[in-house]
Amino acid sequence: MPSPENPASTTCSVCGSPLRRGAEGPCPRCLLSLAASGGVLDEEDEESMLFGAFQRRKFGDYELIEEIARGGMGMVFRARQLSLNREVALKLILSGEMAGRTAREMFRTEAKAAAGLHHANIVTV
Amino acid sequence: MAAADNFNAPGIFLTTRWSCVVMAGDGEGREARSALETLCRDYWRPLYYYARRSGQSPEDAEDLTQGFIMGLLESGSIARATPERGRFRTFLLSSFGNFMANRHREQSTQKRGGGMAAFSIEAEETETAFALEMTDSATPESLYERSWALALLDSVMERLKQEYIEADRGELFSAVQPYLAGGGPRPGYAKIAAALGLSESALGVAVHRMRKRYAAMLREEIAGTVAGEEEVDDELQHLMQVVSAG
Repeated sequence: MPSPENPASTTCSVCGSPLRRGAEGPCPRCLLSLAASGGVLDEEDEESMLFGAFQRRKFGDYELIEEIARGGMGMVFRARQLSLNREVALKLILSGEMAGRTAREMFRTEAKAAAGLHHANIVTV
Repeated sequence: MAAADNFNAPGIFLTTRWSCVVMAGDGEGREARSALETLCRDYWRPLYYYARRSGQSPEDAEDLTQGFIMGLLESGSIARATPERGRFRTFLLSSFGNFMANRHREQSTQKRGGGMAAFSIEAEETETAFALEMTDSATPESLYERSWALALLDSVMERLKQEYIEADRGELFSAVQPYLAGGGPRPGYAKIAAALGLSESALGVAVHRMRKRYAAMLREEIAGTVAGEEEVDDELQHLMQVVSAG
């Protein structure tokens, strides 16, 4: 519970309605609306946001060209490796810089496992 | 993943309000005590407000609230509190109304000493908060419901905060929480991202994930107080009306 001693001076960070004394951030109604929408707001789409961000910049030695596929963990892009001027498939972990330790470890494990596979129908890592 | 990978691990939120009560009614072991504490912590204030608005003095409201919760959990009435009986919110209020109508203050006071530690009510702070919530048109029921909704939201927000702190992302929580319910990307994003050492896109993802996590937690909390998952949206709509009316 917020402290009732604080004077009411804040408004909801979303709709601007007055907040309970001592409260801050979104108001109860906006929080309930968020839950009603399942936490996804119209104004955003995570994948689009990610792709939009990456699309505008090079990613290390790679330049992203287009999205090839996406899954629960990440997205795969057609990309160009600039130093060797060759086309490659680049897999990016979805939560990128925000990925937790376990997610990063899983990503590394997957890369190691894939690196051990050599077949004409498997992209070389 | 979200702020921590283990957020979605099974088993974290298995205890619903109903199962909490049923568990407490089953015995006096450690789990029952824990269930009692959870219930008291989250829901005594709506009951206290109800008693106060019904004309009880602060002291009597405190005794009634404490006596009710202890008596409820220690007596066999809990066994009848099953999810099939409907919404926990209304079950609790109707039970409390009956308790007040038939109260035996001395008995309930004795009960409080009977095996389980009574929980403490911060009387002064609660009375100040009660005065702030009071309006001329407020009824005992409307105060109870509004306080219930706020208690639910506070409880979920606190749990979300603890998850982030435990994942060593307390700073991220504090920075992102104001954007939790939307409002769109703002000029402030760049500044916050820089302060946290993140790119703007990473911050956007963090906001998105916190929203989804909060929504899931709130829906799960509500699911634990209604008869079934299909009632969650109805209950959400009801709670929205309740907080809007305040």
